[in-house]
Amino acid sequence: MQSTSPSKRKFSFREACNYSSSAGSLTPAHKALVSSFLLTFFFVVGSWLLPEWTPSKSSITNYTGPIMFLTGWTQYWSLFCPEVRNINYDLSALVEFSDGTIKYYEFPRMQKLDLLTKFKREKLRKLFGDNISWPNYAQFRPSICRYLARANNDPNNPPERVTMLWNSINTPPPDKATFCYRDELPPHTNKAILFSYKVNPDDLK
Amino acid sequence: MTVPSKIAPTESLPQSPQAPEVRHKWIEAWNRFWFEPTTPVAMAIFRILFGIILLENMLVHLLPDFDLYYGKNSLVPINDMMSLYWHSSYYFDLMAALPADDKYIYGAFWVMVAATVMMTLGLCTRVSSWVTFLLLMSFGAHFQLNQNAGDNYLRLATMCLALSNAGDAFSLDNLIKATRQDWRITGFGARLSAPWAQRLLQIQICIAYGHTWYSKMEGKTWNDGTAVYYAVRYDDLMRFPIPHIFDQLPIYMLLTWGTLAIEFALFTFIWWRPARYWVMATGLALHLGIEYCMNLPMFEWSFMLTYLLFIYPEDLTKSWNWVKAKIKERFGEPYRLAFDGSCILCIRTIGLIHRLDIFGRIKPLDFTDKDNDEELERVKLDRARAQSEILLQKRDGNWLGGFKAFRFISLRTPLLWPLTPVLFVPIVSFFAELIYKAIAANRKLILGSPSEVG
Repeated sequence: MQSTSPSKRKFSFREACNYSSSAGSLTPAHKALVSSFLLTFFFVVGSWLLPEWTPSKSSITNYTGPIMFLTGWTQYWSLFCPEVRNINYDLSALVEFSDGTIKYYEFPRMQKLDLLTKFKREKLRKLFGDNISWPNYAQFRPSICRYLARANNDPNNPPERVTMLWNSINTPPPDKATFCYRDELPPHTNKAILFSYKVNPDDLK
Repeated sequence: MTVPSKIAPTESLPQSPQAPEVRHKWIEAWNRFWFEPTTPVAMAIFRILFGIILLENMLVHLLPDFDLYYGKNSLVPINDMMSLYWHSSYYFDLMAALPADDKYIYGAFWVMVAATVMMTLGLCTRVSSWVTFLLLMSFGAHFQLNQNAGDNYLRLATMCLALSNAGDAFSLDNLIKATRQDWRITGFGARLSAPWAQRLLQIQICIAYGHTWYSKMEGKTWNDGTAVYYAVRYDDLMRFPIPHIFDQLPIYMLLTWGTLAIEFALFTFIWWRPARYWVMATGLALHLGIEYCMNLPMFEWSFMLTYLLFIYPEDLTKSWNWVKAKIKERFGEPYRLAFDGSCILCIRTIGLIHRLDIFGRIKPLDFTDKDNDEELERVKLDRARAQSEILLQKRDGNWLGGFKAFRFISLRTPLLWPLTPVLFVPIVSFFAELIYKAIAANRKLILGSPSEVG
């Protein structure tokens, strides 16, 4: 496709089909501005993605990290790496009421949902499976417990404690003795208390 | 090409005589890569398809549990989010500035949806894509716990769209602009411009592949070949079944090392022209394989869509011409449409029709252009009638005029199909015919002749 007019006369329809006008080159000032933006982007993003063992990485990211978060340039591309998870798990909770009764609550489990629902509700998996279950996000567990307490509140029999449970099973290694087909994985039979929260009356408001 | 140096080497710092030249070559290569004008067509196609993914994200994945994430009584209220996640960092969150009431959050959400629809259609593209980006960023910061790598990529790609000239092709903006332009001066091709935002997105996807490849290389399971065995056994991510015959360790070992090889190629060999399309094909196979096995909505598709930006413009044109040739083979030659090239209104109308006619089903012929005389004689054009209305020749050789010609065109132009049923409503067609005749009779008074306007 041409980018310059072949002559000063106007194009016929056929000629016009093969012609594109051009916005022209950017001015040197514009190029300098864009180049500065690009270099800033690469510096900010590059410093964040440096391997953890890089000397003085944190002294750089102390400055570049806030720029990255503020501008939305956040980069996390470590999917399935460096190690792949060798455990399957889910979360559940016990809500204890003042009369001593206990309600068992199961957080949304993708394993039990049909294909369409699983597709629609993928963000719930991210929230409860990928995030809340792990120590990096442990600080949010009280908020989750408060939410569960509020959601199950009965003024005549208020919840007193919410306990989050971690149900898991290790994926059998692919050795001859333990190899397991994908559709024959064992259930999550290991149980552990992840977090226990004493509900305050203020939490229920 | 050598550019003469304008910078004299300093006496105190001896340099090789070629140093300035080398420096200029680098600058020249930088300028050529980021700024040499090119067609925005690939970015425009990406804009449309990517806009659909964004809408999927908003309406399918966020909306059903909106209150849980963003409502006043959300799982983690914004104040907790700020103290527990933001810490001392600053995040861009427009909603934090709004009163704590669900109607404002919902309002912001629907503004984001509307902006995304506009961006996809290419209406006020620059503004709508900025609004989409800023609100996408705000919703991400407002509730961080449902954000995944796919969300990061959506945000970064939207930023690149907002910075690009993606609205210069396949957009309502372009159509609206075309109604004011004379294609005999501007041509029909999308306006060429500096592709730096498109290049940034190309580099961004390479950064993602490069980083994930490097991280995997540090992992034991990626090196011993068992990583994919474990990955497809994440029971919360499973989608479709894998038959036992393929559910075998040797196959997983091949897939594990194959993944490493493909991801390496996707940030290196993709820049080598002879290998580019092969690398893209392996990348597609990788993402489609993951898409089959795992439920990771948006992520795979947004990455695969980005490959569009790596298709060379001439190959995009070739591919589209191939599609048009196939359609011609199936549905026959395009329909001749005779118009008055001495009438600027007709010229603009033809320009609009041609831009909407993406499959090339209409062949406009200016009956005032001597080059078309022979063809128009052969098909027996009634020139006197053509002076009073636009004429379209049907397969049986008869000519349809005025409004009826437009209605016929609308049936054969997919982009006009939403309008077609309306054109067949008797009262609409009656009035449209009258309006057409009134405009056609006074067409040279409305915008003048081409020599006056243009």
